[in-house]
Amino acid sequence: MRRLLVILLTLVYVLGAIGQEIDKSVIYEVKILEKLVKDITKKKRPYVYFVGLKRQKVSVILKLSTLRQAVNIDKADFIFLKNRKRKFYAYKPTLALDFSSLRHCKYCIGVFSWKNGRPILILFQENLNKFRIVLPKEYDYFIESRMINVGKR
Amino acid sequence: MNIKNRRKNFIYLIFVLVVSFIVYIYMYSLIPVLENKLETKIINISTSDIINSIRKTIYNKLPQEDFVEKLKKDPKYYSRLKNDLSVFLSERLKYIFIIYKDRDNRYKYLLDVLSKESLLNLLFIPLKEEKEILESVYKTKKHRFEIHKELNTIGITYYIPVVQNGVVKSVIIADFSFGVLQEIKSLITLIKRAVLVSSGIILFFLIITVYYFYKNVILKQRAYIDTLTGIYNRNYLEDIRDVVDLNSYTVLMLDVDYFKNINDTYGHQVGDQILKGIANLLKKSLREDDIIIRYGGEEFLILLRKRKDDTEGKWSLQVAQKLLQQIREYEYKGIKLTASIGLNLDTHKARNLMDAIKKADITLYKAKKLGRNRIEIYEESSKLSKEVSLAEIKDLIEQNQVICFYQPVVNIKNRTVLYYEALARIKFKDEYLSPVQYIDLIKGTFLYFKFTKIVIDYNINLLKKYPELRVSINMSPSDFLNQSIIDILLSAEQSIVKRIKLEILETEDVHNYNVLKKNVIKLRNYGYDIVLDDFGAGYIDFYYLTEIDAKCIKIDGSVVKKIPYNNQYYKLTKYLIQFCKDIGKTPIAEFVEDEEILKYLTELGIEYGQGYYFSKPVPIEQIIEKTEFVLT
Repeated sequence: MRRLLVILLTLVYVLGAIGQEIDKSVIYEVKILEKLVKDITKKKRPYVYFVGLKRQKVSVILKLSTLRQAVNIDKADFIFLKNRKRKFYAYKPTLALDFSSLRHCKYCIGVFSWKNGRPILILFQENLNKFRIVLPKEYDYFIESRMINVGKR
Repeated sequence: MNIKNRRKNFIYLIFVLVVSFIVYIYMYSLIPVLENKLETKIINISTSDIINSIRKTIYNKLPQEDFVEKLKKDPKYYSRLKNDLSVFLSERLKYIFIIYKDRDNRYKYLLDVLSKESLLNLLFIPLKEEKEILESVYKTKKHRFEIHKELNTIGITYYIPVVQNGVVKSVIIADFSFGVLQEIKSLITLIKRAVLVSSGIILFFLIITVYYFYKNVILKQRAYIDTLTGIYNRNYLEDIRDVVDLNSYTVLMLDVDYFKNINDTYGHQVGDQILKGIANLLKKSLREDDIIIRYGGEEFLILLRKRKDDTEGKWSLQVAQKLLQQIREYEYKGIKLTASIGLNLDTHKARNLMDAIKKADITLYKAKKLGRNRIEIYEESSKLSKEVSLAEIKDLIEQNQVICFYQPVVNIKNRTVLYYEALARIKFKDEYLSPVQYIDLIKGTFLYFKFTKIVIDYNINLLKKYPELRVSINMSPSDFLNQSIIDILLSAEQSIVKRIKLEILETEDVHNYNVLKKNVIKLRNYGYDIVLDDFGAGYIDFYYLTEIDAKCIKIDGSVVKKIPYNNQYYKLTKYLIQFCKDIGKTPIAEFVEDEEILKYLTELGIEYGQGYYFSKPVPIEQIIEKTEFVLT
């Protein structure tokens, strides 16, 4: 009886630990990104190319979503851009995953980041138009007419 | 009644347990609500100081012009406010920022205390749960807070409106870390656990209490129930004797007539079945309110709950008559029964329950004395002063008030004593009751055997004390059928046995001659001398004379006392003496009352006599003191 109790407690602890392994905010982020990419590409399982993202982050995105990784930019339906410190010119729908990358990305359709513990998503109408992307009404709140510049005051 | 009360208590306790359990479940279901309230309270207590300080900081520096415009256009005001608010940032308070609502009803950053970059006009995307809260803050102008359950980046967020000219211009958002929420949650969990554990322990002890109470009730119940009949026994009577409301009951004593004969004739197994049958009959015939107790062997006590309209006791009498009739109709393997009932209707006149029972018992005795198979009702005058009730006799026997007086059987020629006949007496108040006064009362009851055993023990002890003494003990034929009495006699030491004679009284008819003969032979072989008593009194028949190997035969007093006056009795005695001598038995003449009888007996050549002429029955102490006769 005591042994059974120990096994049960261990199981509860281990399963709990596994559940806690992936941060809730990461799951939240992946779900947002997946929905956005699908709504933009209109594909069920779009190919995504990751630029500047750590391997661990990429594997989490792929694990928690139905997105597929493109082997090169040409085969990609969408690009995620992060930690970019120089210009990025690829003419594909691209989403910056930080504000500094946004500054180097001329064709970025928007930015997704975290601010004060909350996800922040801003889409730019100007660039969406360039790729002839039409999003559902639910995205209206996030759309700015043109690119913003987040900088020092 | 105690058992009934216990049952009520038990049901009450079960009810309490069920209610407690429901309350426990209800409390358990209330826990989330209570938890929320407790959470709110703790959050308010632990964060109110800092939130008030933030509010004061803002309001102290609130400009005359529009707050939003001032922050947008005045960098100095912006920096000062940012600096002032940055003081509040800590590990617990993670973020402080101010948002406003633009013309398109979109929330935008106005100031972020932590960020080095200017987030002015950057879109603020409220979390799912925040949308409604912000709307409410704008509407009510009151601050609110939210606990974030979906995210683990922030724990608790306060939304403090900045109101200027009665309009909410912006909202200060203060995010407490997830750690703070965890702290509060663990505190609440601790309180919750403590409450659950303590109520669980209370429930556990309540269950244990109920279990032991139940166990106790079951044990008590077992102790109160007669195993043979399944009705209450005398233990139960002891328990209720002080709590019974006598005015509510009539007392009925019922005794199965000649039950001892049934046991002797058909055996105890049949007797037991009959008792069971009678008990079932009583249970079926009476109500649940009535109390049926097996009072003695075949004696049943019934406390009959009075009917309100039965002021004269007619209904109780009808019940008794019905019971009597049912017993008459009852039959077990062809054995028909009758019963005697003593009914005490005037229970209100009794001092207590035991007194009421005693009176019913006296009445039962009267019913038995008047021929059995009848009902007698107790009347105050029915007990004569000198009469002793069965209940009184029972008490006296149980209190060991039985002793023996001794009368010598004397050698007529040399006046030596052959032996002393032990004559049982019961000490009652300041007198000694002779068997005539009580023997009929106890005959046929379990008391009779108890009485015989006491007499045997008394004499065995006496013989141990006086090694030269010889005694005879009177025993009825039914005593010889009682195995426990035979066992007592067969367990006596040989030195004692040799000095005891067993006198078979000729006072009753015997049904089981074979067992009687077998047991008498056993006793004879063990060393007891057998004496046939009351020869010529009427009961004795040739079976005794031929089959029972008696050493002595006592010629009954009713014959002896008539010798001087009636020639026929003279001749009868003469032939009886001759007959005894011819078959090798020693004749003993009873009732030697005077010298004239002694003269005739001497003339008839009888060797031994017993009677008042020699000595009245006296206590053993007097015999020892006087040593009138020399022991042979």
